[in-house]
Amino acid sequence: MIKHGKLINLTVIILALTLLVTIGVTTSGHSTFFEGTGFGNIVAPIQKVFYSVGQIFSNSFESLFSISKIREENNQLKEELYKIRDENLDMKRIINNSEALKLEYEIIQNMQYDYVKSRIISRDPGNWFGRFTIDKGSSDGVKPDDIVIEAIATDEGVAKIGLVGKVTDVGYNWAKVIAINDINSSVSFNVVRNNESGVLKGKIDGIIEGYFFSMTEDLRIGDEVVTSGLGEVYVPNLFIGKISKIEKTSDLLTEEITVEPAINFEKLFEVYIIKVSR
Amino acid sequence: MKKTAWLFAIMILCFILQSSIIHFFRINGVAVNLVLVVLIVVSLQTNELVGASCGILVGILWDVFYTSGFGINTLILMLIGFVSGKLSERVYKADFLTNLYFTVLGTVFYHFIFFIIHYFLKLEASSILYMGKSIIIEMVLNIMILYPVYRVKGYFLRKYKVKY
Repeated sequence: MIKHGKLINLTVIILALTLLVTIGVTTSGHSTFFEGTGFGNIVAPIQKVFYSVGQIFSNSFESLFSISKIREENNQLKEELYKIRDENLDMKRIINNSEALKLEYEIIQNMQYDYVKSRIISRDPGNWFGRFTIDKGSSDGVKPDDIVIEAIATDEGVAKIGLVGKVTDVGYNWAKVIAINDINSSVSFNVVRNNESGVLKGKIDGIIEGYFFSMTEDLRIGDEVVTSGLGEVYVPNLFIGKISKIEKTSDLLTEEITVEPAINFEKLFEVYIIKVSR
Repeated sequence: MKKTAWLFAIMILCFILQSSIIHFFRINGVAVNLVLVVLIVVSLQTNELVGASCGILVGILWDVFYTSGFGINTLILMLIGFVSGKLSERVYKADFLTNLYFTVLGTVFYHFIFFIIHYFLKLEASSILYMGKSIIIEMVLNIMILYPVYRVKGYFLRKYKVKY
């Protein structure tokens, strides 16, 4: 007869070993193991309510703290407004011929996809990875590998589309999303200005780094980066962000870039899911 | 039995709060780990059986929703709950400092095991250097939230005259 205490010890050891094996088995590929269970379907609606409450809190806190800065900001903005009015005429002329318009046109062309509007209901509680869940699932036709994007307003007032990530697992009324700055995510990209292409990967500290397939000659900080569609996960010409840093690799032949995403991943709330038929 | 059911409900509530509201109050991109703190306080007050099962419960929820490989958080939280429950017989658990030591050690233990497992799952070894600052910030935040959690625990114990 084994004693009560010993039994618990034994169970914990066996469970620990089993879990270690499970980690190894489930990590390669999608963890579809638990999709059939009703776990997520019950918890997801509750999380949705709490997440909305959190959003309200966060916004009101921000406005509370910013009151003291408002006057200072107001003066600065007035000055800036006059300056910008002058520049505006010149800018209009420039924009007509620039890449920005071309990019926007391409994006509009690509919005023929069927999409679902969705809200983020919770985020990975840990501090290591950037994953979150959304409130649309298989009941709305969301499938694994669907693309998640966000509409954003830039300085020029153009509502471009920014890439957020892709859906990895789908439940009945919720889905897991992996962001492009997650360490397990990689995206093939194109530089809009000169069509150089390569692969972007997330880093542990939340930045996005990329390398090129071949030698590149003409790269500038601020170049716009879009998805290239290679690999057939992401559709082509989704806006990712701008190059913020260029570094030579150790062999001095190719370059490594850091991309500043168009999206603030900390403040995501509403996203769109593009349904791609593959 | 009824007491344990309440504890499970509290753990689930903490998990929901953790994944929804708490990340709006990130400092330097780091969120406090409420689940871990509450788990340690609960395990210290009860025994290893309750501690381990609370850890498993929250760990499973965490893994189902957010982890690509199932089991990492379940394993770590189960071990933390088990060990704090086991040691609770030998320490003076009513003392705040005991809870504080366990929280500090628990935070370090969590990230250490997390890193070890992910190292074998092809994570770069240098990532621990990036994470070092975050871990320290998280530890400070955990200690800050431990005090209210500890007081709430004391309040419940006195109000409902619960004995463990």
